[in-house]
Formats: sequence, C-alpha cells, structure tokens
Amino acid sequence: MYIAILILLGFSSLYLILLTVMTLIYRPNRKKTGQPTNSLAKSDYPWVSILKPVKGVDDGLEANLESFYHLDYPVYEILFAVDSWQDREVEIIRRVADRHPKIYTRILATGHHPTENPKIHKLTCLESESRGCLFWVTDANVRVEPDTLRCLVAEYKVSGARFIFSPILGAASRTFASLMENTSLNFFTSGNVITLWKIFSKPVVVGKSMLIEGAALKTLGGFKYFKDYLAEDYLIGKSFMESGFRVSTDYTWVANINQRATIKSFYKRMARWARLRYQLHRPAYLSEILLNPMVLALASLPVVGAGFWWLVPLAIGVKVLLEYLNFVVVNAQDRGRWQNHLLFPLMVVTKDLIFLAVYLTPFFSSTVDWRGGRIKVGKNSLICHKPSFEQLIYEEA
Amino acid sequence: MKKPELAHIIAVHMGLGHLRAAYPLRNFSSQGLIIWGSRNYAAPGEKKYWRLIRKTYYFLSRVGSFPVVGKIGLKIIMAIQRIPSFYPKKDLSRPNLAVRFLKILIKRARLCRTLPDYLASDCLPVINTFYATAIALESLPEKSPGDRKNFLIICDADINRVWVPERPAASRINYLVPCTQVRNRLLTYGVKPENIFMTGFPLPVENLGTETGLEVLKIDLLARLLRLDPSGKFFAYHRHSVSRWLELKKIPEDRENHYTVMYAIGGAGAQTDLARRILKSLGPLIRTGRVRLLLSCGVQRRVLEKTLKFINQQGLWDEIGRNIHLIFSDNVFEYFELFNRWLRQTDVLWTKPSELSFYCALGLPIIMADPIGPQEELNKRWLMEIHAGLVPPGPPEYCQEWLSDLRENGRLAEAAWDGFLKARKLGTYKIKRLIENGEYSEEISPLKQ
Repeated sequence: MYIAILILLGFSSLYLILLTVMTLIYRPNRKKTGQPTNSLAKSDYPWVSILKPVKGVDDGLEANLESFYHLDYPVYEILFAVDSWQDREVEIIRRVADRHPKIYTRILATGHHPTENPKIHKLTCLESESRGCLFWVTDANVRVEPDTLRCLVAEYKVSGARFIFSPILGAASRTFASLMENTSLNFFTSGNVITLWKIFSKPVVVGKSMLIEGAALKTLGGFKYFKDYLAEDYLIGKSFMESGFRVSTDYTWVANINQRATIKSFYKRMARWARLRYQLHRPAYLSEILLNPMVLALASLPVVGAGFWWLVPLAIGVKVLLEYLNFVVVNAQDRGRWQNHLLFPLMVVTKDLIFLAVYLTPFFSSTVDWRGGRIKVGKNSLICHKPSFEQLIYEEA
Repeated sequence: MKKPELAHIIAVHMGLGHLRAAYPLRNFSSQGLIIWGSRNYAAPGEKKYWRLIRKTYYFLSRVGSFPVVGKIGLKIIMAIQRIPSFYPKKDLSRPNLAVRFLKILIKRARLCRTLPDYLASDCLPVINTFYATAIALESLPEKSPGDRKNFLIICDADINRVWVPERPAASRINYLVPCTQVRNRLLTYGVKPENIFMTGFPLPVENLGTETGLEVLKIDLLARLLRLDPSGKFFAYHRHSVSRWLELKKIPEDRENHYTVMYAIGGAGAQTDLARRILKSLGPLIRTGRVRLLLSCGVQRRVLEKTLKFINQQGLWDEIGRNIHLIFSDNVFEYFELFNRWLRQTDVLWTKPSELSFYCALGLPIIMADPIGPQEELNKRWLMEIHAGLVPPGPPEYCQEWLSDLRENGRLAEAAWDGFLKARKLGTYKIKRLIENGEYSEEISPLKQ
C-alpha cells in the first residue's frame, strides 16, 4: 500500500515540478523573440474593441482602467457595461475616460438579467455596440502593460488563431489572504493554463483576458451562445476548439490586482471555481487532489503508519519550495515586500488546508455565490433556473 | 396558471419528432406545451427516469455510427423495434414485449404518476404526441372533475404495437393519424375504427397560410418549382395541374439560377458526419452562390460545433451568413421557429425519413438519408409510394453532380409537386376543429386534406 502512496506522491511532485518549470520558462516579462506587428502599417492593425463588464469597485480599479488607456496600440475603443448608472464604479470610469478624450469610450447600463449569466448578458450588449473586428474581454480587476494588446494581436496575426487566452498574474498582495489568492493564481491556475496548453494542447481559459475574433464568435451566435452557462470562459475556449477554430496563447500574462482579499472572500471564490470545475470535467477535478501533496501525505499516515511521518514535512517542504520559486520569479511586484517572504511557508500550509475544504465543497452543493446572487449549476455549469413554459433549454443527454 | 382554452398539449423531449408534432398546436392552450419529464414538469424522481430514457434514446440513435459494434447494435435495435409486415393482413392485437414493458414502467416504476394530478383542475381534452403519456393517462386513476378526451398524434407512417394499450378494444384513446397506412395498422392492432381520425400530421400554420387559402404554401411552392425546374421539363408535363391547383393564370417564364438545400441533422445528431460530405461536394457551388446550404443543427451544441468544424475544414467559414446558414438554438421552441422560417426558403430538404417526411406536404422534395429504426424505414417507403421522396442516386460526396442532374431533369420539382398533391396538409386545422367542435370529415381534394 505504501508503495502506491509513494507512487502517488512521486507523481504529484513530478507534475508540480513540471508546472513550476513551465511557469518559470513562460514567466511574465521574459524576453520575447520577434514582434511582427511592429512592421505593420497603421491601417493593417485590426480594430480592437475592449469589452469590460464591471460590477462593483475592485481593488485598484482606477489604476486598472487607466492602464487600458496607455496601450501601445493605434486603433481601439473601450466599452464598459455596468448594471446601473447609480453604481459607484460609473464615476470612476467617467473620471478615467475624461482624462483620455482621444480614446473612444462608451458606458452602457445593461441592467441585470434574472436568468442569464450576468457577465455574458453584459458582453452581449457590448458586442452589439462594438465596432472592432477583435474583442478583447478583460475583467475590471485586470491591469495590463502598454504592449499587452500588441503582443496578443501579434499572436493573432502570426498563428491565425481566432481566440487568444492569457495566463493570470495575481499581484499587489497586501493581506495574508490576498497573498494566498495571488499565489494560488500564479502557481495553480496559471501553472495549469501553461502546462496543459504546452503539453496537451488543452486550452484552460480564464476569463480575465480573452482576445476573440468577432466574425468567428458570430458563427456561434455571439456571446449569447454562452448565456446559460456560468463557466463562460472555459466553454468559449472549448467551443472554439471543437468548432475547428484555432485557439492559442503567446503566454502574455495579464495582472489580476488583488490587494485586500479576506480569508472568507478567498474561500468563497475558490469554492465557486471548484464547483464549476467539478461540473465541467469530473475526472479532471477528482485528480486535482494530487496537486495537494501535503494533504495526500497527511491522509496516507493512518494507512502507512507513524513510521512514515517524514512524508508530511517532506511534502510540505517540496510544495513550499516550488511555490516559493514561482513566487520569486513570477510575482515581481509582491517579492519586493519582505512580509510576504516571511509569511510564505505559513501561507502555503494554510492555503493547502483551505484547498482541502474547498475541494470537498462540490460534493455537497452545486450552488454558487456569484455577483450578489446564488445560482445552482448543472452539467457544464448550466444555470439551473426554473424556465418559463416556452423555454425548453436542451438538457445535454 | 391561466386556464387553457382548447386542450392540454403534452409532448416529451425524446428527439425532436414528438415536440415538432406538438409545436404547431402550441396556441391551443395559453399555458403552451407541457413537456413531460423536463425540468419544470414531473416529479424529481420521475425526471431522472425520463432523463435516463432520453439518454438511452440518444445513445441508440447514435449507435449505428460507431465502427463495427455500431452495425451489430443497430441490428439489435431494429429487431427490438420491429414493425411486423402488414401483409398478409392479420390480427396483431396481442400485446408485444414493448407493451408489457411500458405497463411495468407505468404500474411499478410509476412513470407519469403525477400527470393526473397536474391535470386535475379541469377536464379539458389532452393531446399527446408520445404514446407513454397517453397510455399512462388512461391507465392511472383520473382525478379531474369530468370525462376527459385523450388524443394521441401518430408521428410516423407506420408504428409499433407499443403505441396501443394492452387491451385496444377497451381503450378510449383517440388516434390522430397522418396517413392511411397508420389507420390500417391501428385497425390490425385492434383499435376501434371510431377512435381513429385521419387528420394528417400537424404542420406549422406559418408555412401554410389560412385553411381555405393556403396562401403561404402556394406562394412558396410556386417560387420553389420555378427554381427547381431550370430546363422547363417539369412544367412541360404539369403546367395545367400547377395552374389549376395553385390558381394561376400564367406560369412565370423567368427562372432563377440558384437553389437552396437544407440538410436537417436529426435531433440526436446521429448523421452529423453527412454534413461534412455534403459540404465537401457542394463547396464550389456554395462559393459561387449557385447553391445556398442551410444546415439545421437542432438543439445540441455538440452538433453545431461539429458542423462548424466541418465548415472550417472545408475553408468555407467566410460563407457563413452568406451562402451557408446554421439553424440552431438550444431553446427547442426558438429552434422550431427558426427552422420553419428557413423552410420557406428551402428548395430541397435532405433528411432522414423522420417526422419531417410529412413536411413533403409543404411541397418540399425530400432527399432521404439512411433511416434509423423500422418506423423510418416505413416512412421512407411511404415517401417513395407518393413519389415525394428520393433516394440519393449516388454517394453524398458527389451530391453536387446528382443534385444538378435531378434538378435539370425536373425530378426535384416533380417530387415537390407530388408531395403537395398527395400528402395531407391541414392536420393542424383539422385537429383544431375536431377538438373545438367535434367536426371531422375526410376529403380527397389536395387542397382540402
């Protein structure tokens, strides 16, 4: 039995090492070879509509939005969607937009659809108002570098892909929980985004940044095609792949600003994502436990006996070391803060224990908290509302 | 809940056939259609049952496309669903295994157990499009205040014994049948003649026009015949017939150079791969605009995405929205609305001989893909008997060639015309009158049947 456990732990460590190596190779701010769009005439740049659904005032919202007005790209517009004109974020958006009158900005108050994915509802409204042939969908808590859009469009031009996704860089931690959340984004989420794409060509799309060709999206019927599903980002990538459109990434990271998360907000977000992943691909979700060697080692103690106690510190050591490597190389912003280094080992252990609790949640409930509402999700993250009599949505058999 | 006006319409989500039959009747009730077994109807335990039955149905529909084992599986399914030969005529009223199994499902597994409760508040007639709900309604204790009429629409040109209850002579189910063959079959199963009404399959009124005028149908049919007869061969034979039945003073001489083919992939998506072969062959004509291709993908996202993949593989994706149109919605009712709208512009309907066979009455020539199941084999036979359906004369990879030949020879126009003349068009109206006033008459005039 203990051989089986050792094999499991070995497999887990190997995958985590691979994940670390991949994030180190494709780290943010690495030197890239070639920037093909530099040679393009202005008229050759495709017009990009930046679509930003906004809900609430995220950490560093003003600076985040400001970064989109400093893009080193000649032709783009920025379209915002909010729930209502009374929302606090409207004032911030207007303030930023007023500082940059040369960049076409539009704000739509789209309201809230009771039964549709709220983000998709906003994106559908924005899509109908946009002029660009490319849509760059980014969340409000995303901050970008001036060359981010140019790099994404370069990848679009070179690879012929209709959909470009990005790894996410969690940054700007100011609390213990935000450090946990950012580390988990950089190691677990982006590590898997890069590794699964590089090794298995499987797109794991996180909706923080998606560059989408409008015409290709239109063949599916536009964003509306995804209105009944909560994990719209993953499904957009999957649908594009299955529809024969090329999907790609050039590993251009976008920063997810997360300064003041609390343990509760971290748990809720992770639990929501866990429930969605569980509904999207159960075997993959079940195997995720392998990425938590500390929990594996602890759980194996009753089986292998106290003689193997050293497995636990070994697993913790390996995990802390790999995550720390990732932290030092990937998260340039947070590594300058000495408290983060000091708290790091404790943070990893706490995070992994919370992850165990998070891991178990989908087995007990399929209801998620999202944007102020509680939504029950079914297979493929289908939103399970009670349909009206003339709305028979096909339930995938 | 508003009170329904004419009848409760009960369908199930088992492929699109039973829903398509119910859709034209949706205005019979302000409540719309009752899709039994879907999320908002039936008890939770029962829903799981329906889901399992639906999954099995979709699996069985697709099994034929699996290599090697698929063919064997298909043969087994055909054997289970077998419809015995009609000749020599004989008494077939003895229940078969399927009837007994359905009885067990209703009595022991309590399939449809909450249906009488759901309908308890009134005694309006019920129109079913699936046999299980009709038979369950009859066998479960009725909870409504009065005597309720129970109708069942038959969705194929011939049927298995399972559509009729164990004791047909005692049954009070009224059958609304699409063609003579079904009536004859029901008689052999022991159904009383007074319980059989030859109404025809319910077709969408948006594709017909009024009952007496059939304005929409006539306009669409004439335009279609002109597009399907570029050489004038069809009109050389049938000019007077067309003038008479379409009430035309003069047949226009202008002919259009293009035509529209719709390929309807079944609800289970069993023949999605055929779309690839059609696209491959018709690709050059699509690019030049001589053929417009409508791909009806139903309600399954995987079918739409697979179809898009084929379009991409053929490098035709820039034709989407121009000469290729995809008909899809994951809302079944939106899908039917789209489908019926596009059908008006369709010149050739390529489909397996499902319930869509009866759409030949709209003056649509039907190119028949391989049937799945014995009932579709018999739909195919019916279509061939009335000359409204054509078996592809060559492989789909060469459909560009043989479609052109069939069009040049006026065969497609002829099939369209035969379908219009011989198949029943007025099912929706006849069912409405039967429910509303008890009026029923059998006509032989093409415009009155």
